[in-house]
Amino acid sequence: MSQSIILKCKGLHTNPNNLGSVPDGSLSEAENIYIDRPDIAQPRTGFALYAEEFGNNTDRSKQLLVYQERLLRHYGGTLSYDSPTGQGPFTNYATGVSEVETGTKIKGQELNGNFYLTSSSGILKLDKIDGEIKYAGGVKALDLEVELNTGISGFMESDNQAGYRILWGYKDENNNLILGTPSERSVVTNGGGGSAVVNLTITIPNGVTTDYFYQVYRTRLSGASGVDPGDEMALVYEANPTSGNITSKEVTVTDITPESFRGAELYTNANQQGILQSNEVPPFAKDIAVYNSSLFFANTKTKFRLNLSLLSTNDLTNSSTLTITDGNAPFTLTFNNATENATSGQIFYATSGTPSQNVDETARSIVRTINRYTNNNTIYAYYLSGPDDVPGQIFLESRTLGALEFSITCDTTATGEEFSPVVPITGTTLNADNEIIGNRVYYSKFQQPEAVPLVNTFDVGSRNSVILRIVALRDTLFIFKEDGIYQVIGDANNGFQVSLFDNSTILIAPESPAVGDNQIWAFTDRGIAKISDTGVEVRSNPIENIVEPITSAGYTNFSTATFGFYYTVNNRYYLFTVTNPTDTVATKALVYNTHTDSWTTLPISKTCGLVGDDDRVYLGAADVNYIEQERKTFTYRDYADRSYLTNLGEFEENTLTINSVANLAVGDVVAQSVYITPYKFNRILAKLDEDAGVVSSNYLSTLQVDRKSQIRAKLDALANKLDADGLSFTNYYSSMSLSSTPTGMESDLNIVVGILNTDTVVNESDYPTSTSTSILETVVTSILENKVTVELNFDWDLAPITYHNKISSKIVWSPAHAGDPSIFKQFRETNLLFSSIASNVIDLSFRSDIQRGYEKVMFQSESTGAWGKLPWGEEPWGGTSEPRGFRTYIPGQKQRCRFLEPKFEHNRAYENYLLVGLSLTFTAMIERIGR
Amino acid sequence: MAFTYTVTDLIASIKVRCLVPISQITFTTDDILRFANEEIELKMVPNILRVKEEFYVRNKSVTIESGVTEYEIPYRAIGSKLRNLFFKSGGNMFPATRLEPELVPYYEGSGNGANNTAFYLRGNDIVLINGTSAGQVVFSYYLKPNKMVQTTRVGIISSIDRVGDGTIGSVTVSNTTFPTNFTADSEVDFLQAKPNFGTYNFDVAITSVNPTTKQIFVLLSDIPTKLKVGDHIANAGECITPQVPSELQSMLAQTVACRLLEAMGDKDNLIMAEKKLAEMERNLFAVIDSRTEGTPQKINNIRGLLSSSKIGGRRYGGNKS
Repeated sequence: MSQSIILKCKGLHTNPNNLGSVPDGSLSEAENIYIDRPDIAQPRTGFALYAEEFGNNTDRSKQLLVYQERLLRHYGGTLSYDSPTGQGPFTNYATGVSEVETGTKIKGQELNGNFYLTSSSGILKLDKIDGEIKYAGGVKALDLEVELNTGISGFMESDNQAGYRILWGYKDENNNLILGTPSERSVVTNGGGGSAVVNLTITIPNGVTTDYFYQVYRTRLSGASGVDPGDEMALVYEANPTSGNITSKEVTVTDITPESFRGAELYTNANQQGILQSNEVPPFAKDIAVYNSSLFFANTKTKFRLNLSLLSTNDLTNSSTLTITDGNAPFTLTFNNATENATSGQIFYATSGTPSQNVDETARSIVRTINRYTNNNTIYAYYLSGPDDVPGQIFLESRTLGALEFSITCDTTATGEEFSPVVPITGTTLNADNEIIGNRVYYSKFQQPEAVPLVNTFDVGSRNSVILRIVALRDTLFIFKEDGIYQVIGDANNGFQVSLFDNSTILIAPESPAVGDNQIWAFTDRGIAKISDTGVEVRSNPIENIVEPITSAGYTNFSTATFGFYYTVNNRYYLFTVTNPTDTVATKALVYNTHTDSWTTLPISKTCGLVGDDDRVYLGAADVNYIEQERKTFTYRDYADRSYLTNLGEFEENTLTINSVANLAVGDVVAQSVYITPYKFNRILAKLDEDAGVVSSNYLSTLQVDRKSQIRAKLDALANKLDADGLSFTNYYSSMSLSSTPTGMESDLNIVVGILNTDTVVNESDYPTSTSTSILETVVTSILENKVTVELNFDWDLAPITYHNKISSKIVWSPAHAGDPSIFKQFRETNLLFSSIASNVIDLSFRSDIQRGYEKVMFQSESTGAWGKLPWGEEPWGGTSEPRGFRTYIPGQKQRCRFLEPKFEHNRAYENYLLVGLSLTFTAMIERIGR
Repeated sequence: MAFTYTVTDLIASIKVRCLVPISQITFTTDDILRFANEEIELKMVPNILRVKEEFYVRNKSVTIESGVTEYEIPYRAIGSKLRNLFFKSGGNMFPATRLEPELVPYYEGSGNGANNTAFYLRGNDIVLINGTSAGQVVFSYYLKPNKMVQTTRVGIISSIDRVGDGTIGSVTVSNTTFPTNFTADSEVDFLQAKPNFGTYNFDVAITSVNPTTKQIFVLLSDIPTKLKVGDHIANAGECITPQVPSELQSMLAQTVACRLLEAMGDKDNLIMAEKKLAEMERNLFAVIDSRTEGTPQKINNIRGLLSSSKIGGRRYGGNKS
């Protein structure tokens, strides 16, 4: 008796024993398909070139990001953003952006409405899509010079001290208040002689604009000139610097605020967050992630920093010098016992006070001089000594994260020994450090991504194993390191706890992690895995034989070429990776549907990708300097890849002669928009004949158009005839543009109709204009040089045509053995079962264990779907796809075998299907084992 | 509605009977035609001959040459056998007598011209006893049906030039594409397109062809008088209409359908199809037997002892019988 088996579409199962360990319907090949519905295969949608080309021919998009629903494109050292309506043109940001290192893509995170980017020069920020790229973080206040102004009576009573700090800040486009690090504390003393006010001279750091404000904080009066005022500051003054201030890098303020008018407390006050919570700028990081409203920075380095203490001034002379160099721009500061001239690099060193006072005064002069010296463009200095510290503590820091390492030397040993550590005469032994620590994580304050105190950090695992990626889920931040996976829980207010999560799973493709369904999908040394709070689960076992080889040493570009993203709407994880050892970019995508638990592949070569806010996939093309956009109109037109424009030179029946067949292939669809048609033209003639106001009634009989190629001449004749027909107007012909383009002819027809409708002699005033367009579409069946044969005959315009590249999909089922691969059977016939199909040609091939070559059966059906099968005319085409089966015999040479391997192929653009599977009818055989 | 009986109709009928998928490569058109030709040869023709109603009978006269005693049975004779053999001499037909080869020595040497009426078979030849140069041998045999081929190989005659240049005439075919298998010096058959699907003339040598005008030139004398527009011209031995009575074509289709089902291992449907075929075979004889029901054939024992007077002294079996 005949029996049947049904093979559904279960996705790739290439690794297990395909004669016993795979489910029915397992696939050994699944190219260019998705399995989004359980057991149903459908062709992938296409990717069309998006917007304009960029850079030069060799440029490729390195990363795509989304901010404020607009696409960001990174190539070379350029970041650009899409137009508000999409489809470009893209606008380049004025500031160039480079990735942190070659092969590592720029990472972006949005928080508080801002977009933060990793880059080779540190964390960058966008606060609006068409704004400027800025460095993230506030400005660190520099030195502050305070001076008692006894000329004005004021709050500063006699016999008092007061301390000051300066704070810079600004509000960004999203109304986030970005406060920097307060300045050093400077104390002013009013020893007697009456009340006074205080003059403050504030050094303005780089990066400050007129949008910034500065705030002056002041302590309470100490009550006695010998009593330190402490460090509990409150706001006494706020203003914006002028352009002149910024140019002079200095602003002078006179503090006259009465004691009772002191306002808000400084955030670093001990009773607030404390000085250790000063808002430092985010460190340089290779990855960033938002977790519990804090921005995390991983695999970091800081600015170059050096702590230096002045121990005494005894051995300093007027010829003593300090030289600071980053290797490129050295500058030298000279000590002088008489005066300070900061802008020319002259430091005042004090010798007249107590040793402590001398050190304090000299150290402050060193700081001011470094900050204000015009030849210094590399570092800033900060005075750290507070009320409870020994004087002379200086902190040197490079101005930017991307700056070079700097070192200090001095003129003599005596000078050098006045400092701790000792400043050498030559060499770079006293150099700054930028703490390149691969296992370090910094985190920002709660909901303040640009405020990263120096103490908000922790090291994760072994220092020898760097952090590869940090990825946040709802409850956990996962840290992927070279020695395993760690997890972080907690929040910035209550502290974070880091712990080892899995030391047996190592991320091997740093750009592969993607978040979907509150899980992380990533390419690990155990395979492609799902990581969640509950553990690591490898999901690539069915295709392990595909996955494992490409991770071997021979595939040298694997880790940099591989990238992944998650398509939430369709529950797909796309992993683009290499195919061959020599591949420098990803040449295929492994697509895993997390709901149907099925793998398929896309043999396409891309450099980067993401899912945009419009729920479309965007990809960086690997072969051209374009990016691509997923077609997603939910129509048959989604099933084609790129489109190209060329000119139609001539045509005869279904053979077209076109200018260029580059990128054109059999199966592609040729299309052309139709603006004006014989029907549109002739209906006007017929209406004229019936119009009692028009003398002639032979318009249709004399001017009727059969083909579009006649329209221009007949339109001219119509206009001339109207001019001569005794109507009100005689400008019918002269009003036309006489263009021969389809749009031009349509425009001319509408001009004539427009005049007709206002002509008082003519009775009718509703002659129809041509407004709607239709599209001719047909499939290319052969190409010979520039002669293209298409499936359907159309009346084409000799004008530009567009061709749309097909997507070739292929499904090969694992061997079908009907439960027993050891006995011979006769597989008689098969039914391809479609939930719906709108396709005219599909191929089904078979091979068996007896005959390994494929033998193909081509189905040519009369599909009802969705295009191209109706005669061309005025009505839009269309139709719906329908469920149906395609039945065929198994080719005779393949019928008798132990197992059968069916292969389904589809190679035409603008067609789609929902393939449920195929049934095989067979009879178990006993004696007849071959043909 | 006109009746059409080409292989296109036959194949369509076969495919419907066993539901051959529209798209398949297991059975090509040539495969199905091969099955059909085999079935005609092995099943249809024997059944038709069994009713002995003179289907396929055809005569061929061969002039007896002096000293030549062996004459080949026409190659188109079914089974290389003869329906009958006559000698024609002086306008008179003499039935021939087949001898057992063992009896030949007893008949040789009589020197009587009447001995021409005796022959025996040797291989595929007839051998005359004491043959002379006078007269003709008339072979009466069952003409093999032509093999069915694809329609593109056969011409549909759209006009006939029976005048030509006085020697050469032509037929013009209406095929969209002129069949490339028609070439000068190839041989063709002129075939009846409508029932009874007879063969008007066969093995006619083409003198030349003109693919542009779609003309095929042959000797005027080779153009059958019965040939008319719509008939077929095919390469020798080929046709596109099954040369069986039209009423049997559905049975032919059913027979081939059974072959396909058998080849596919579709036992369930094969059983059903064979039941239908058996029913058809039972009815076969009602259709083709007794071709002249109103004038039933009279049984005349021409070889009986008493029959010589009834055939005017020409004793069947010759003077030795």
